[in-house]
Amino acid sequence: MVGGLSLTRKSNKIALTAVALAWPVAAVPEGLTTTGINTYGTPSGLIDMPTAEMAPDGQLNTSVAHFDGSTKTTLSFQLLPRLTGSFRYSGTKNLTPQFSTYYDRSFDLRYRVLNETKWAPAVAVGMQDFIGTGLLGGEYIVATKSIGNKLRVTGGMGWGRLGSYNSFGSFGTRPGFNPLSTGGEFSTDDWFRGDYSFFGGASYDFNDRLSFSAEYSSDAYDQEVAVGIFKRKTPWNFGATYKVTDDVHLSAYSLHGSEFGARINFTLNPKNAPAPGGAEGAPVPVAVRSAGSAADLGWTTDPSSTDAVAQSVEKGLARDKIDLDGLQISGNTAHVRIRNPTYDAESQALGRTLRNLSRSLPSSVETLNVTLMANGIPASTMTIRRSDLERLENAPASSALAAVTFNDTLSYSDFPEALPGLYPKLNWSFGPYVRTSFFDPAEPVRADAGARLKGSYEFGGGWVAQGSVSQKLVGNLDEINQLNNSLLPRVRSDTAQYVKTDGPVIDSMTLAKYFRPMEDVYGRVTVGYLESMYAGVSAEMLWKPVNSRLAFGVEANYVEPREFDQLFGFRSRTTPGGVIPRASGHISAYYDFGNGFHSQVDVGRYLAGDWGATVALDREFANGWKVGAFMTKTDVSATQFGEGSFDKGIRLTIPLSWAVGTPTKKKTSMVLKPITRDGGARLSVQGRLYDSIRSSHQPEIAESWGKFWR
Amino acid sequence: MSVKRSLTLTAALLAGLGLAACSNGHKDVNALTVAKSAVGPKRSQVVADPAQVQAAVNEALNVLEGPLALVTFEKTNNNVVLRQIATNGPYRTWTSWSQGTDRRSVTTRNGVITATRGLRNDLMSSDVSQTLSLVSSRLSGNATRIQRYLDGENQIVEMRANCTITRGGQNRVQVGAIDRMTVEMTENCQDGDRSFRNIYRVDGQGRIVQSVQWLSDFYGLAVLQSLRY
Repeated sequence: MVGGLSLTRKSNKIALTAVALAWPVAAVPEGLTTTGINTYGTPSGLIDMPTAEMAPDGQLNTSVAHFDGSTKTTLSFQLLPRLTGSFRYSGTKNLTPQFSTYYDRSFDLRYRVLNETKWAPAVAVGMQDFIGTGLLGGEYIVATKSIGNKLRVTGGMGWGRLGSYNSFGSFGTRPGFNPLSTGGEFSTDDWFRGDYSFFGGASYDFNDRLSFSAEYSSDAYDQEVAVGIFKRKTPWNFGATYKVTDDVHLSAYSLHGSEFGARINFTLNPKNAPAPGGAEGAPVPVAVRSAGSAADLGWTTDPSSTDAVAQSVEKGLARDKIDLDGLQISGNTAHVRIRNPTYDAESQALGRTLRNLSRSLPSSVETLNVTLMANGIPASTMTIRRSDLERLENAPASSALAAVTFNDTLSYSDFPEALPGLYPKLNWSFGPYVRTSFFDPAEPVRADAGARLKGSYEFGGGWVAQGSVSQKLVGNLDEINQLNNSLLPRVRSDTAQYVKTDGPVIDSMTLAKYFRPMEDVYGRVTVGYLESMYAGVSAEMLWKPVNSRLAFGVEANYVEPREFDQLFGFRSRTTPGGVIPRASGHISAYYDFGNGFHSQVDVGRYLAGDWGATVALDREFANGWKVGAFMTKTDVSATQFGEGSFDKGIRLTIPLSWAVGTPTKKKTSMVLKPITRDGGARLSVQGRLYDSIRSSHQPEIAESWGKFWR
Repeated sequence: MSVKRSLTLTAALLAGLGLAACSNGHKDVNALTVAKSAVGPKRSQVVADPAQVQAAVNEALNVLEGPLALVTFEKTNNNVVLRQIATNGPYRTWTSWSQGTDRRSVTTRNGVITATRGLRNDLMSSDVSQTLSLVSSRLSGNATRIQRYLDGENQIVEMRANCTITRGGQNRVQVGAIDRMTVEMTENCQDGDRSFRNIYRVDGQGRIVQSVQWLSDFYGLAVLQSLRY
């Protein structure tokens, strides 16, 4: 009998107490939070009205709210514990004579000014549809107080839509909704102007799954009532929400005594990975040298032993799916160069490399230099003393971070040559693709699907040839039939023409040279079919010290527009909106704030020859999730630009490793633009330096350092 | 047609499409590995039947040399024979003897689990020196223990628990090549609202021979016993 089994039975009793425990997470008090949303898709325990509640930090809510003739689809993101941003696509049937369904895109922001205290409520200020046409426009100041842990009571004051019923005062005048405006501009004239009135309500959690709410609405539904698509019998709304799972919530509600509606909400929080920390296999343990062995330099007299070491390192790294690119050993120092095609956290690739080195290198080697390669050029070198590696294996991860240094590879004299036979190297992949189009009023979602063959050929020394060919198999993108009324050179608005072909297309086909002209500086020149719409030359230089959060770049492009069939030909640069200029370019500044936020500013000449700037701000999670927004303002007037007035959008990157729980560099990126027009458009070149370099640099490695010993 | 719903589906689809591709590179994540990981913790070595466990233990004792141990994960009722693969000062790292393709490891310091790898929400490192000094000398007292976990955002989350260690009665432990009298030491720990309990059976030389240790919410309790020093 194995004695432990009796102990196992005994442990069951203990298990009952342990299982009920909540798991430790970094406890940051976030104040009054809710996983619920209202019909606008913003965090709220009520129905159509806002509250001062926030979603848990980092939460993404994707929701659809529907009642007869009206659908709102909203993506809300809790940017900070006290700041929510939302992007909404709404459709209202028969609202205006011009459109059978009036589609509208809108952005919201809300900020909690005061957190709840024992006696005082939480107070938030919010703006709905603050850069749109103003259909859903409304501003509010709202207070919410929890009473016990089940009941929450809200009262607030609203303007715009939220001040349209039973108003009791007015600040100035409000221009209001204009369905035919180009929209998209900051409607500052409207904010907190016009009539204001009171709204309020309460929510009650019946149990963990079911909650109820009731509210007094200050929205008169003026537009909808005026055209006869909505009857407003009472100011009262009632609703119930059921949590099917923690991530899927269903709601039903009655609106103003005349309509019933339903809503579904999917919640997702980048902080909560399905397999936290990853489910991949264990790394090999660090091998500790025996005392005194470090003095043994006997191996240095035998030249064949270096080859044996290289083979051993290569074999160990291959098991961890890391490529050995080069190895140089001299006395007490080893310098290896690696390519990491596997680990999305470079810290993990470095950790696993060092563990393998500890097992393969002669005992005399004390200094370990590991260079991360990117596109055939060195991106950074990390140095650690082998005795620190041995000493800190079981210490807090922060100790190892303090023991390593990152430097520019060019400052090392022992940077190894590429292993013989490594180059040239062919990589290929074949698989399906999907291409989408959103927000066409005739059909809000369209897509093509097909097959794509991609290949790259690395010559070594930073020379990389790559190409991608795809063949559409099914789809309806070719049905896009929007009238192109652009007043600018048609640099992007002819998208519809580029998706009409049924034949194979060359997505890109380029030859690039990456190089390191001097310390802290990286260079790239790319020639060929750069992207689906343009071919030409693109050149870039980037200044980015290894330990710096700040980087500057300059890029110049000289292009010719490609034929619509996306084969080898070119189309005329002359378009109804003007001649497409050949030259464009930018200077860029990048800054990683180090608190999870990253910003980029580009200033320069855009594709249509317009001059201006792009500002982008992303919240970047250390596990690779990114949620951000960008806007571009150029010297093109709102009228010239057309619908939307200026270019803007939101973007989202989801690392596949987060979803599957094993390391991979694959990720899904999405850019959502309300509309694609010709102003503020940039060339889309592959292999831009900043994104290929920064993951190897200290600031980003430090952010996911938890993976170093994993 | 709901646009955002489609967007979500599209995102999932795009991610899925990446999985479907084939290439000449390293064996990367693909649809099959994803399907496997979706099934949950791997149970390739579930040995729950006591006779089977006994047979596995006997075989390991005959075939292998050096230190051996048996770990039982309470949540999966999975018994794994461990062999020591590395030492680093007082730390020993163990991995399953009959391991297949998935590599998982446990690190101990005198029988106290200080780290895991490959179990999800891994225990990355621990500071158990105060606990150990009391437990191995079989003395009651108070100790602070620190356990550091890797969370879903690749951050280290530190748990610092205050523990009370009490000396209990004597037990004879007969497992594998081990047969000796032990003293049962109980460690009750508290960190805010959290509480957990570890039990150690310690021999006359201060070695922990058998133990029940709380690992994490993900893995619950582990029962660890030495089979051979």
